[in-house]
Amino acid sequence: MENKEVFELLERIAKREEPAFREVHLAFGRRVYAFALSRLQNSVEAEEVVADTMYEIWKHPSRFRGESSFSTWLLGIARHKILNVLRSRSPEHAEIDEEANQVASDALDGFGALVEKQKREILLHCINELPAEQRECLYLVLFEEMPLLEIARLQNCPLNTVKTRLMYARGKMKACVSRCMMEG
Amino acid sequence: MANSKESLDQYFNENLFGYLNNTLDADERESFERHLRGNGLARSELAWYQELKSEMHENFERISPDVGLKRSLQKVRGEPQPLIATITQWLAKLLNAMATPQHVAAAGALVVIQGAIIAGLVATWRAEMPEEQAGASMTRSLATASYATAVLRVKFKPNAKLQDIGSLLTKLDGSIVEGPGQGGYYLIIIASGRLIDAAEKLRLSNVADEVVLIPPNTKQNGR
Repeated sequence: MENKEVFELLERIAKREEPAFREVHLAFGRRVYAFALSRLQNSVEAEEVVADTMYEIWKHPSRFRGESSFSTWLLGIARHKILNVLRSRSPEHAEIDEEANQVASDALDGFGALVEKQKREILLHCINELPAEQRECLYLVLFEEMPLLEIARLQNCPLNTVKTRLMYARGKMKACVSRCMMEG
Repeated sequence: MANSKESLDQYFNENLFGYLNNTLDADERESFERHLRGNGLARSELAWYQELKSEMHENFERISPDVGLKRSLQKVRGEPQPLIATITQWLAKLLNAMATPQHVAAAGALVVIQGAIIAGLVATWRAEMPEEQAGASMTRSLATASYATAVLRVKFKPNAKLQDIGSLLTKLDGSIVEGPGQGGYYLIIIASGRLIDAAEKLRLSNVADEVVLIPPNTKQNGR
């Protein structure tokens, strides 16, 4: 949906038109959900993040001023809601230890020979094992195809930090895939 | 050797996602493909991310478009109607009823009923509002929030724990009245009115990244 169309809907939302709100929700809700789920790994919490994020639009439709795409702006709000959920949780699971980052490339060579289902299971397991910020970076670049500069804005960090996060994420993915291959 | 391996890895890191997302220009793409031809491990890695990307898209397709809609609508419908809208609706109904003489009696009854409903609404708001906020005579417009009393605009550290934030706010006699918005800001009312003191304590704490004092009736556009 183009920003122009979004602005029209937001104007209607400002007039408290529920159908316009519903339209925005149907257009963007599941992207927010997928983003929240990738970070929270919990469908109930992710759904709550969607509702809270969308409710912000209902309360303050004029706050979007078109400085970015609407979805990026929305994911920015969702990210703060996600941080709220994470704050209320106990500390995240321990990150993969650095020693495990030593990649056995022999093991990786066999990856291509695995059946599709096994490959996907391993990859999903490994992305879920990543530290939250790195997982978020990888998700935004792979699924949202978001430029790194936009990710930096969303994560409120310098561009180089995003690049470093992606580099570490790749290293950890390699290590994890290798470990899963060796463990069979 | 290590340097060359490092720089190759950096090159791969810089271009991998651009290649996957089709944002490299023709020359960069060709150069990246040359790099792939000579590096089996890089080819495998690229294949994983293509796989992962497809998996993400397939999972996305499985999500219902109306996910969270029911909860959102509950929030939207559950929010108290602004008093002015309630009065406007009431007046419109009253005028309609007054248009024909035979409805005057019904209109009279309506006045009593609507009056009771409005009084009930106001009482409910008061009851639901924390004591300190009620005392601060908070007023908010619909489109952009503004407060009749000075507030603090605070951005908490991403790793700040809810428990720490809560206990600090309790000590400061503060309560969150809004947020977070797109920028991650919260608006906080300090019931005791000692805003400067509270702002200083928040700045010195390990939970807040940014603390700004907002004068009364300042619109909080987009923060």
